[in-house]
Amino acid sequence: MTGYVVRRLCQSLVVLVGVTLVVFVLEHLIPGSLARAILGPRASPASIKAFETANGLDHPVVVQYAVFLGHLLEGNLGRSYRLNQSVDSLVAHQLPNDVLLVGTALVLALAIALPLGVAQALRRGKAFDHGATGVVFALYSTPSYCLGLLLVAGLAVAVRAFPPEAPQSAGLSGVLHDPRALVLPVLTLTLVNVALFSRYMRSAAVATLAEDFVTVARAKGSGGLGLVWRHVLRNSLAAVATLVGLSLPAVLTSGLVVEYLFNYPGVGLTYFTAASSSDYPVMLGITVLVGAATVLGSLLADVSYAVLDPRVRYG
Amino acid sequence: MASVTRRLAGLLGACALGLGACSQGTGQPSGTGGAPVRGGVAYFAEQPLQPPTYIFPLVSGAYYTEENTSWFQTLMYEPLYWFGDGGRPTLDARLSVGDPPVYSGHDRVVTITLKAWRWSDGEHVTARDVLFWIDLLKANTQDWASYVPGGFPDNVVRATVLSAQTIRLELDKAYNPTWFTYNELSQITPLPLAWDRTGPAVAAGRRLADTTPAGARAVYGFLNAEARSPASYAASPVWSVVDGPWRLTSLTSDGRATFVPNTRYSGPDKPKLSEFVELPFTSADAELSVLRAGTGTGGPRTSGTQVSVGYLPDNDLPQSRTLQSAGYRIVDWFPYQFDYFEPNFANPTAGPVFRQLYFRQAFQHLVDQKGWIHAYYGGLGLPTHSPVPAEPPNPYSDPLARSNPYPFSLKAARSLLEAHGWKVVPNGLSFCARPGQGDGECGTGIPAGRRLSFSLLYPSGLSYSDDSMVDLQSVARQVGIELQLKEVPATTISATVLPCSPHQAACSWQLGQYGTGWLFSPDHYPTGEEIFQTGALGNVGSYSDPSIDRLIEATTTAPPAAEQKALDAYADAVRTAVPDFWQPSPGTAVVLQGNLRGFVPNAYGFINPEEWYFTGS
Repeated sequence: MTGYVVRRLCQSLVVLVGVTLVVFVLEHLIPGSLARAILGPRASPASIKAFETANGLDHPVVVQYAVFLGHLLEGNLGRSYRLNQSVDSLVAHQLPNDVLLVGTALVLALAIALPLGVAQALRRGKAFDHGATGVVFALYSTPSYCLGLLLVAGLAVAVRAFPPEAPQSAGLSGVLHDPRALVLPVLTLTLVNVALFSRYMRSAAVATLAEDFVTVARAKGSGGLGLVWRHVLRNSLAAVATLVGLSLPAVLTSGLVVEYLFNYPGVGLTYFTAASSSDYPVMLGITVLVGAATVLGSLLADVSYAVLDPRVRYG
Repeated sequence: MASVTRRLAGLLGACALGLGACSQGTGQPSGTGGAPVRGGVAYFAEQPLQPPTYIFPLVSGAYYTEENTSWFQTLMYEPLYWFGDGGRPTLDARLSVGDPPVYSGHDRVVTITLKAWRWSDGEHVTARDVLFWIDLLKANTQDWASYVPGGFPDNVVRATVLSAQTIRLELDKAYNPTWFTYNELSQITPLPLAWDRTGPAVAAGRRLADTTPAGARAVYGFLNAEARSPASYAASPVWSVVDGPWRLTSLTSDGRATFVPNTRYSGPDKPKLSEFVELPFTSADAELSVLRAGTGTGGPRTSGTQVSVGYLPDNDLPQSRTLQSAGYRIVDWFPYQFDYFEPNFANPTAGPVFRQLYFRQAFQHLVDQKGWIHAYYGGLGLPTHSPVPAEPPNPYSDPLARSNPYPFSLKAARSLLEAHGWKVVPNGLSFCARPGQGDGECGTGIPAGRRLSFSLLYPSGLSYSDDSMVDLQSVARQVGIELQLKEVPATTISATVLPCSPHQAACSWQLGQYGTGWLFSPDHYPTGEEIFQTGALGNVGSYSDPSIDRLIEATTTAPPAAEQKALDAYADAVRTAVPDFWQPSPGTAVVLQGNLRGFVPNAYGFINPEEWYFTGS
């Protein structure tokens, strides 16, 4: 297993470098002058030259890329052209908020979706299953943007039960200081994820319940929660584990809509803004992080297979 | 230098209460009245994802945004002259640090006397502080967003401090005093000598570093380095020396800026609020949600979420009634600007067509400004008929600025094309049937068979702009003009819609729209040397007309007695020459907490929260 993990980490490194190379090249293929895009159309030639010199844009692209990789090895993700901050400090400030928001939503979604999926499988074809399926499909087919707006209109504007925006205090402690303000953004993300996870869980549990070992267990007198816990749940988790593993990069990106709607600055929205404003250092820095999260997430998913299923072994 | 700004880049405009200066929303007046309550916190909504990021007033193009300049720096560091007087686009002598400048020597010498104001560290604001700014600018022009080669400070031959409060500037030639005051002196912000250093430590008896170019560059280097750490602004011994009405107490990395009154502020309007807070937003929708969930008559904030001065997103103008019923007041804001989109006169294919006046006239006839304002701008727009706009009311525009020389008319457009050798093919592609330079022929550089098909770049994310361009495409098709619309990010426009030579690959763009107007700030006098003069940095379409150049030159050099005549001649020539295609200038619906008073929108986009206060009821 250790050898496998080491090999995967090495492969991941190559993938990461490849991702940065592709993004770097694509950025430089965008037509027009980057300095003009940043400084505005009426920047003087001297200003353009000064900007390009200050940001190393007067060097060949290969040299620029080498400098970028060099900085990366030093843990320096670059400096935003527009926000007057280093990408490191941007991410360091926003990532904990993202982890809190998406992590909370993920845990809540799993806590609801797993038992719900199993319960639906156990009552397959009955009224409860049909009712839950209807609700889940409604949530699954509702764009998170629309869901968020509906929650704001209902719970923040009409009823005034919760604030319409996420906590605005600085830092993680500030966010935690105002838990009521977390309710609507977390609820939006949770409901969307519940719909996704519960469908997978239901399908996996239905398949597991049809397995011979479950029939044998039943024949031996096992039933009720014991059967579910010992035989059904664990054997049904592999598919959901994959989903959760692949959700790791989503910590950085999937909150974009929620960040947009609930005034919650996060990495996803920062990336989107950087992409639309030619702020390349921010784009590149976050690309590296998302790439790292993606390969780490898929690695964790693979490792979790071995933990959940004794038949899976990596040499 | 005038600046191109986003539509929502400023909240404030020309709706001075009592001046009848603006199209008021259906709410109550925004000015004074009611029993003032001392203290309270006013919350001001920043534009989405546009936090203040740079504090040093000598700001480069990368950080030259209204959020940094008009809504942040000027709260702490007063410009020499304050522009926007009670909503009118004029100089406000009362709020200015300097007394009105005195011109002499046939308008080649200007003498400025400063009022007896103080910095927060107790030092006087002096003529030397003005010289400090000029020294820094001269040595670091490449870092000054408003720098125009040959303009300020290049046109100042010598600056001499005559006394503690008086400085004399000798100019390279005679200038129109109004132009020089509004467009050049408007760029001056006195800086405290406490900043005149090259490192954190200040040696006793030190020699001021700005007196040599190398020293001035070193000072800029130090101050710029200090400004690269927004998190440290509030605690910085450098940035805490202010002469404006406000002092920064915190700035979060998200952009939440908190100000308290500068107790040593020398200006006429001392802050009445106990705190002024600028709130960052990730989207206009998020800002609207906060407005809707808040209380429009909540008074000074005690708990919960509240925006005291916000805005209605473009797509949500119908929400104004809901907000008004919740106690908010709505004020329509129109900045002093005109709006346009650019033809590329240097494009090898389209350029020869655009250079024909009859074609520009015909194309302008296709722009249905009134219809667009009604259908796509939610009624919140002003038609553009002149480069010297008539609105907000001002002393510069002549009566012609209110009339459209080329009103919407398919028939007129078609007639003009047919009269000049074009075979008009409605819903097809019109083509040049009579090439040549004579009467009734297509014109120089247009071969037989040339078809009227152009690409048009415009920025994404502005629904009114999107709708207008689609409408224009549809209308143009009816006279056989094909417009290939390309909706791209605004930065792509900035990077590609640029001056060019016909042989360059970068000259492939044909029509471009920035999605923004030409706001007269920080060049406040509505002349055209930066947008219509041959070779000007803002003349991205490479328009060139020697007669217009001469008229522009006259507006910048005319003596006072002739300045209005020169400005009228320029405006009337440009409005009919159509160097750009005029389109409506959008406004913004400002949302005010019901009991907030003293808010007077500024025609150039500045804010004066020191004049705001809450009433008891």
